[in-house]
Amino acid sequence: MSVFETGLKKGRFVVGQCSKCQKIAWPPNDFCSGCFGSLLWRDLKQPGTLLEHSQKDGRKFCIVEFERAVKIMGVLIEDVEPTIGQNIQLANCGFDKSPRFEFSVVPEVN
Amino acid sequence: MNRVAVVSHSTTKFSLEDIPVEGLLVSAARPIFENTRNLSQNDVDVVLVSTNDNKKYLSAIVSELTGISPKISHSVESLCNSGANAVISAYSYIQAGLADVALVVGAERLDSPGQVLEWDVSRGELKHPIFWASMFAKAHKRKFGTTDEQLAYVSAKNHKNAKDNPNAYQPKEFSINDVMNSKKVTDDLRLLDCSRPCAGSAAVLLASEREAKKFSDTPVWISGVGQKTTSASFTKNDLTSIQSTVDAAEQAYRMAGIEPAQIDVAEVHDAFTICELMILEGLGIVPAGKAANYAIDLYNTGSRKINPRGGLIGSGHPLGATGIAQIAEIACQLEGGALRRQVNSAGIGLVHNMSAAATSSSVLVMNP
Ligand SMILES: [Zn+2]
Repeated sequence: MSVFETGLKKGRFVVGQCSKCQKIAWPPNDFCSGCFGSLLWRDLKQPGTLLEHSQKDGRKFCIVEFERAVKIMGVLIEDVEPTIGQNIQLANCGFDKSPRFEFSVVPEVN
Repeated sequence: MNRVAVVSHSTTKFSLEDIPVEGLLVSAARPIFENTRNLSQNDVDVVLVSTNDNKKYLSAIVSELTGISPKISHSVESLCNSGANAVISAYSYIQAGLADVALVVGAERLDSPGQVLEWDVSRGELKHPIFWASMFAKAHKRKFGTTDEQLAYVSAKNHKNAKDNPNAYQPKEFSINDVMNSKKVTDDLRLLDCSRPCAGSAAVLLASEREAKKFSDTPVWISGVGQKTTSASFTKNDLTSIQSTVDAAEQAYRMAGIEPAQIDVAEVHDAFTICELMILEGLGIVPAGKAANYAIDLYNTGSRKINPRGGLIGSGHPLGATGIAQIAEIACQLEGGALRRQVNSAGIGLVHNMSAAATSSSVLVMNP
């Protein structure tokens, strides 16, 4: 099983970063797709930003971008009207046949 | 350069019937032999099969069942784009001088494993195509002010065109109101904004310039070919344009020596209404943000220029057959044999087929 899937099963979202060129390997890979260098695995840096959202059966789903490299689709667990570019946190993740990503809005700090 | 022509084509009735994939394939191949003059099995150098079905060695099976012993024979799979990819592969064999005559057959069963790309983990649990399509729709609405009603015109137009396509899964007219009142699947797309999977098959026969006239007085030449794969992950796409289509179209236009304004008739991959708008913009048939009003004009004037057979929305979408059925329709249009669907004096035709949330596209330019 891949490092990525193993991480998700423990509720951790890990990304591989290239030890040679620092590029983040996304989607998950065994090596850097830019320079074929080896990866160092670490936790994803939070928060991300909201790119787009819609709603199905009362459940909001969206695309969020992290570290300008990792774009993922998941469900927004809060009943709020999000705005594009807003800071979004990966609140939960898991893996059961397919990955599961759940997002929450990062509260504005004044 | 060896020119390559479509010299015969067939499409079966799209349906929800439970037919083995081998049966679907040969039911499209058989009419090619029944309807093409001077064609015998010995003429066929290449047999390619386009499908997402998990069965193996299908091109050899189709060859055996139709009495062909081809030189070149294999399957082509690239999700919804398999059909155009298979035809372009056959084109390349002929163009390279490895073959003179190629039979390309595509089919899909209703239970196709090609409807979901499990590999794409960036979509999380949201695997169904409705999720990426809704993201495209919402982003297009946000950037260009596109409305649900404008999307409805695309569906109404394609269903109206499909009424004159006897092979469509369920030829039926829907009004703008019918589309607008169909079930909301997400906030941004309704049931009638979607194409639906079905069973079906289609076939085309390609021939070299040397052989084409033996089989047809009206060969339709493939004058431009373009293909592009940008990635396999939906989330890498820009949400308001389709880069793979832009690139594939540019290659095809350059090769054919044409501008998009010269296109008279086109079959484009309207998996969802929003896709048709983004494709027309990507092909340069209209500028970015202008496709919605263009679709309304097509509907109001009764023009069949875009998706004359009804596209995927009007005809149904048997994945491996779709690209081949699109090519068969444009060949039929350019031969002048499309009956009630005929676009008047169609001189230049285009086919656009794409895969996996728009991550790859194929474009063909064709002319009589
Ligand atoms: Zn690297």
